[in-house]
Amino acid sequence: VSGRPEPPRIGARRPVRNPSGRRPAAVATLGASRRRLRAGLVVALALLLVLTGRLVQLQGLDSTAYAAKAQAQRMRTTVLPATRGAITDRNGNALARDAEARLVFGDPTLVGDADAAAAALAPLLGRPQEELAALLRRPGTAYVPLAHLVGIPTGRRIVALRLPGIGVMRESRRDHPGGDLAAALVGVLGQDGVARSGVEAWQDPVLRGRDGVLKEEIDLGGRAIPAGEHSETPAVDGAGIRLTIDRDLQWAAQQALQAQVTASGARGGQVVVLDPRTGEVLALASAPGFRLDAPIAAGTRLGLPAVADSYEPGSVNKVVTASAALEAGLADPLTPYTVPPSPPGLAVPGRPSPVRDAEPHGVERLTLTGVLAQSSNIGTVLLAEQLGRERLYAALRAFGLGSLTGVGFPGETPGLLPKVAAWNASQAATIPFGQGVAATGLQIASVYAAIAGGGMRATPRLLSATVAPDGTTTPVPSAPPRRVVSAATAAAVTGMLEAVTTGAGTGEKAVIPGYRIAGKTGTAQAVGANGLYEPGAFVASFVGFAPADAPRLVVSVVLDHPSRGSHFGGDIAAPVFRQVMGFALRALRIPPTGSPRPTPQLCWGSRPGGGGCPAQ
Amino acid sequence: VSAATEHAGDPVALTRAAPARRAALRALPGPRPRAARTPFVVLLLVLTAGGLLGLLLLNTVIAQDAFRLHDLERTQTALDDEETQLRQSADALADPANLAARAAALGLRPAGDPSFLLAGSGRLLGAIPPGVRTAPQGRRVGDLLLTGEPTAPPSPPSAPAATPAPAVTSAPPVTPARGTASPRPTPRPSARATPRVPAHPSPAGKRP
Repeated sequence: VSGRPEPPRIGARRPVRNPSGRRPAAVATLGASRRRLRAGLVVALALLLVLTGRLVQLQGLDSTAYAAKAQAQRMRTTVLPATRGAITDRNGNALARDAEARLVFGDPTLVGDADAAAAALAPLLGRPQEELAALLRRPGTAYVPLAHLVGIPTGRRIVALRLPGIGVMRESRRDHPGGDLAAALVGVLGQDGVARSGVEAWQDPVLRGRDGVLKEEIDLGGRAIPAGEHSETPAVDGAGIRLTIDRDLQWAAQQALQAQVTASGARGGQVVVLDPRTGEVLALASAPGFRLDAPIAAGTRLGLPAVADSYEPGSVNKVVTASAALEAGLADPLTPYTVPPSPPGLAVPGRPSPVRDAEPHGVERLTLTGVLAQSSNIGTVLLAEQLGRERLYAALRAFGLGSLTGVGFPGETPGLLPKVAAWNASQAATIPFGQGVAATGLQIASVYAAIAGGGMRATPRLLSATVAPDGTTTPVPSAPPRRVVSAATAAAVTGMLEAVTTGAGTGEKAVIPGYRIAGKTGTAQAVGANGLYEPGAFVASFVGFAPADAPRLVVSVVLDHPSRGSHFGGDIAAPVFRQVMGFALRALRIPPTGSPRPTPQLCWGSRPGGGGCPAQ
Repeated sequence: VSAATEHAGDPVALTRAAPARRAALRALPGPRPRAARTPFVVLLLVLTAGGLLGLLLLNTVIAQDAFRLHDLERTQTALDDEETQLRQSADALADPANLAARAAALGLRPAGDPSFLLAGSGRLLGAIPPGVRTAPQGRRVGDLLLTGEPTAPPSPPSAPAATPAPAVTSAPPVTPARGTASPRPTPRPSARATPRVPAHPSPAGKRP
């Protein structure tokens, strides 16, 4: 070994041993490696370029679309359905409310024996077996709904059958515990959740509530990732609506009405029960009705006849004429009228035929009370001539004829009251006794409520309160009452209306023993489809209130086109009044006032102090 | 191992080195002190194991909550269903039409026109039910359904002293009328509220 050894370098673990001192012959290898490196670099750069390009494409150019796709893949959005508010009667008894139900469905790809499954399901679902089997054989689908809105027990039984390919899901339905109770008023809610009629449609914004949304990140199996993204907007349930209707009263009204519609062969009818002090509608029955708890037949009329249909009220309208005359100071209950015989009746200038009364009579000497009690058309025309058109028209308007009642129900008609300037001689003669005008059942009930309320007309109302999901009750504000006639006039008219239900009046069948009843019969000629009076077609009605000296209830009964037996309001509508009013007085525990019933003076001149009129 | 011992192992270098060059000698750095490997590995293992275990625990807890949630949801569903069913059957039972049908099946009939015995004056208002005899001097005999005194002003207040109290002689036990809105402090013992619905036929066909 020659020469000094190199000093060991700092950091070197061991000295480089190169005993020969020669470098290895690696020049050629070095050049090849450099080329390889370059080639590798180019390849790597090319790959990197491709990757970068793709990255730019994904992240920069298409990022939104891909992000949305990714979001859709891992996020699940569930709608949290809001419960629809219930519709209840005035005491909180449900007339319509949301309830749990079941949806039964089949998966044709999994159902092995369609016939066996259909045979097992048919009796439970109430659908024909062949129909179910056909559904379960439908090709190209994995989902066939078999029955909607099935009850929970049925759903359980179907689950217990363990049929392959048959499943049960939860869904919500509208329950109507009353069936046909106030069906037209409550209204129809479609299976799609869209309200079709009645309070359901009218108060839909209140009842509907707002659906909530649940968004959560899920894994491949559809399970929510516990620590994943999660946002929830809770559903806001709809508020309930409390009606002014009394369920029991409504039922009694429907029963009595339906029975009489059937017995009298009428096309239909309606009953309105009103509280004159508040304007609250306690019952609103109409016939023919329909059931809300069964499929509704096509062509069923969903409207509410008591506000949507107008008819010529006939003699019940005489109360307006009499009130106006009393209010104007032109007459009092004992004002004498000499009624010419009918036939021939009273000739009215400008009118082709004379005005006649319903039943033939000779010359009658009636007091104003007698005119009303015996429902004399001729006497009413004499009174109206005294009164004049303008004042009669003003009174009709004041009592609410020809305008909406203010109840607010959709589809309400204001009825028909021609402007006074447009009245011809014939109308001027017939409008006083209610022909040539048209009013709804609610309008007529409201007229009598104004008399019963001592001359104050309370706006009819159907909504009592809204009930928030937490149970807070907010009363629906009521419009202030409006004075129509003076209290003295109302009292005098009430006295005359009470005479209607005495032995000599037309409304004897409305009497409830023990109570003082005031009311009026009506038998109007019905208008046909051609706009002319139909021969032999009538609208029979009775409107009244009780107790006469402290009125608590107004009941209006209308029967349309009675075809069997009598067509007089006093014969067919008054008994319905009696039933409904009797039931209402019992149910609401309204005792008689106990005051003696005055003896009305119907006639003059013949028997002073006597009640009845001399026989013709 | 120190530098001295290393040099000591190289006697040639020692003898050849001039005394003047001794100052140039530097201490050579020895191999770096080696940290013991075992504690580090153990630490890593412990950390890893702890982390894994913690994760497992966390997942277990979350999964447990999920199970509990699922169970509670199922319970809630079952209870909801039960509530719905109970409410439906209660509604069906309370439905007026159903009540009327069941009452009819039990042999009950609608009550017909109510009668009222005024507790103050002893006057009878309304239809007299069949089976009730009217005793002379205003005394009424028989079972009567009482609903209380009307709110309207009653007959003159001086009258009651002279009016004989209505006596119900056919019924032995005598209890005060319930629900009577009589202003009198002492209820009249003669008025008896019949606990049953008076089953008299509806006087629809009968007109007094």
